[in-house]
Amino acid sequence: MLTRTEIFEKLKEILLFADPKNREMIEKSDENTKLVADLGFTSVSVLYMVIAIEESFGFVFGDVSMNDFPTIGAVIDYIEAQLK
Amino acid sequence: MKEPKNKAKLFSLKYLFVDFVRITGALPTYIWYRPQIVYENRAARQRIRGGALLISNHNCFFDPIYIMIALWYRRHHIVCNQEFYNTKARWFLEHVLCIPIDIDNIGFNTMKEINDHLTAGELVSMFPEGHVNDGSGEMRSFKSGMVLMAMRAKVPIVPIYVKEHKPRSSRLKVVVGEAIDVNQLFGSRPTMTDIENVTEKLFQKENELKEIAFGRRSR
Repeated sequence: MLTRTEIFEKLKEILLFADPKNREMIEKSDENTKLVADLGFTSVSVLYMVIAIEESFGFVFGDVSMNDFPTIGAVIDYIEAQLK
Repeated sequence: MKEPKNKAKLFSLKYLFVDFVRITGALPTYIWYRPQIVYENRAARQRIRGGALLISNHNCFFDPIYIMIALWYRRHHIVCNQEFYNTKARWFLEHVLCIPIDIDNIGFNTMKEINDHLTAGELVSMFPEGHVNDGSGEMRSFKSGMVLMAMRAKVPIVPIYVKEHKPRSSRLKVVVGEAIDVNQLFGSRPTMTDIENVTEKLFQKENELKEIAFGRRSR
């Protein structure tokens, strides 16, 4: 079972791979960082992140939508709940 | 194109209504539109086998019908805007295999549904401009979601250009492009920049098909 910090680090790796141009912002990010407002995510970026999370963590996102993940913390919460 | 792993069912009770609409609507539609289907090249003329994502420019609300006319031999699902779906036409749209999508708040179940159809060997049509364009003849920029969907389902993207049907008494002209296997464009997992580049390529391809539609470029 991964800890919250490990999930965060893995998520950061995904985000860095997805958007290397935004490295500085992603490295500085914390759980309160907003995906759209702070990291400049679009609907496609979120979709990319979701696909990468599904592949990396081995589960499928359920009945949730983009707006359910306003911050990195919300994404980690969801991953944590799925991994339990 | 590779031989598909999956092949969609041709007959099924759940398709009864859409088959009824297609059969009864075929003759009047062909008589009215007298469609002229133009293929970009010989490869584009090949039958699409297995799942594929069809993308087209979006001039008007009849575009899904025009695409179905161009590829009448296959069953396919249309991705349509949630706002349009949630009207009185909902029952009809649901039974003619439309998939509602909320552009401002994409639900991951919707993405899964599209993926399931594609991997089951069915066709899914979508309009990457997001909305009907402004009528100036120029396409809006494309959204990249289609590339992700095609990559996830490991299916090709088939670009289609529908020439604006004006005057209404004229023949309908649809240009079908060669299928593009987006998965072969990347060695490993692509970055967002790669995906945006492919989206740009697809936009250029649509413009090439537009030139063919207007007779400004030879096939």
